[in-house]
Amino acid sequence: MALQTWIRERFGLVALLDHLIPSHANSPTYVLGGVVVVLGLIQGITGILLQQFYHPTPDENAAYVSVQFIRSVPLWSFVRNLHYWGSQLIVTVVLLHMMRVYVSAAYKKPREILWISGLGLLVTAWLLAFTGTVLKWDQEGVEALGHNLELAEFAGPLGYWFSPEFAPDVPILVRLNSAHVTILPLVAALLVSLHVYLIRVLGISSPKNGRSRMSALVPFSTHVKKMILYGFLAVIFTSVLGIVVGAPFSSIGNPAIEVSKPEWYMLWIYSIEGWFGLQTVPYVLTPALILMLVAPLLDRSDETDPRKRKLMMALLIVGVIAFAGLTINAALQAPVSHLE
Amino acid sequence: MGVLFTIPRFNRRLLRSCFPVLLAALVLTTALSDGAFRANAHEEEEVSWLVSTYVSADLEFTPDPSAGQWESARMITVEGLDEVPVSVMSVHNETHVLFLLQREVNASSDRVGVLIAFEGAGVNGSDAVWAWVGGQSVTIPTDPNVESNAALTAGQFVVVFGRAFTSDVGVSLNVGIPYDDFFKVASWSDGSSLSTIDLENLKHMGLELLPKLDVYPKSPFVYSAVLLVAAFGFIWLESKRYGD
Repeated sequence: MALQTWIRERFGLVALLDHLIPSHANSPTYVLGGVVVVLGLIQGITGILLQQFYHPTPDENAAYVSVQFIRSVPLWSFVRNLHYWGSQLIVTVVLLHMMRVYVSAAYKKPREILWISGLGLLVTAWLLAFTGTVLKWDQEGVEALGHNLELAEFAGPLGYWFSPEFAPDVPILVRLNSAHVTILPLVAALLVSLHVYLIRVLGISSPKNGRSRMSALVPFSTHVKKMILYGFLAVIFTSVLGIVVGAPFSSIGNPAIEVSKPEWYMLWIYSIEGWFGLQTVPYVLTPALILMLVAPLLDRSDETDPRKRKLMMALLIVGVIAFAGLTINAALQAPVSHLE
Repeated sequence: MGVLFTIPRFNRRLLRSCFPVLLAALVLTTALSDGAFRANAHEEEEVSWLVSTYVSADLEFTPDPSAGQWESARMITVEGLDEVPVSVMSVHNETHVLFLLQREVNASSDRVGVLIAFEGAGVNGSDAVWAWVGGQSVTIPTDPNVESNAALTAGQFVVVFGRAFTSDVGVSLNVGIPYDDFFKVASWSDGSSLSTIDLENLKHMGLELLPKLDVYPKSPFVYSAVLLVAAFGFIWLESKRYGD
């Protein structure tokens, strides 16, 4: 107890942990963001461990061979599995968290920047997962890189960094590795910092005119405890998956063939690729992201009750059904070639 | 704080009206920039690759392309020596590999020849050949482990070759290794003998026996279900906070 007091005083945690929040913020659906933070820390630790053995060069398939080595040692294989399932869970929980925020209208004034930083974190998590896929340098990784290169070429100036022409003497795998282990984690850390700061300053959202307005206030420390508890449960869940189910790893990447399908969170795009071609992807992805970005502008009333925000709820349901429908459609199809 | 996060009314209208224009401009810019920054576009010689897909079952050595084992197979087409296209497919089950070749024939089946040659896998660096010529199977060097079968039905001549991955003679195969410039295909219908076929001038192709790639085929269904249930669940839970 004395140690706890010492830490609270020396690190100035009193102001952070003792401020009051509504009790509903401790319900499981309001702790999803905290679960992402805990999982993110585990990703950082497992990622650092994996980097000790990963060789990020395509020459003589060194990257592939180094992953093979990681898989051959039970401890590192487990760490890799944990890293993989952690990434899957992060993408899922970020999506769930954003849905909860959307339904509870927590993007409304004055929390627009919170929403935008959350969207930024979703994109960052997606990019981290995508670059992680390429790093394996197996068939799926090489095909993912093929899509990266073709979309970069199509995007012109916007995709220049992602093209080999940006640094012709440096293999793009090396640059994607640096993006995966430095640039994107840094972006994620900055966005999380902004996100947490804004939550502290603006407070956790409450339903306007709802029952929770009358709910009791509790210290923020209770929320932190819930975050750690649910985060710990999530880590146990990923650990069990890591022990029981291995992270995917296929044959040496052969850029001449296209035979695999992407991870589930990109399968919806795969459906669109299949119907209209790879080059239509930006035309769908960009408006979808812009639509999410401007949600606070589309829904500007003071109303937070989802039953009275029928249009926004309809948009959510349509969006989720479209996402699930396109995903399942792609899952049911045999892999086809999309690259030119 | 209010000043910081409140957009003036005029600007709100402006943003609203500009949004479709901005979106259209972004899409248009992206479309028009296609190719503009292609600094080092490179053209490579087109090499055909035959992908042998994994089938989790015993393979049937029957010359029937409609059999279930060929459903997931990928087909490539090669021009025969008599300019009749030959379609080629392959499947494997991690121990045995099967090749199916199909072409149109307007002659009697004993005048038709079909072969697969594996680059340098024969004696002293020559090609190992699996062939069906004059109504019978021929292998060079003699490989008793190669099984083959052929049928001529409704003008379609179908040959199937199969063997275990490894053998004391001829080619040995492994899953997940890209075999570049590895095999060649020839077909003819003029009754030529195998010895008259010029293997050197046939088109080289790559072969890869794919492992099972879609490791967790059910995961998209699980994640989709989670998101769908969550969407309705969140609406229900949040609505409860407001009472009736």
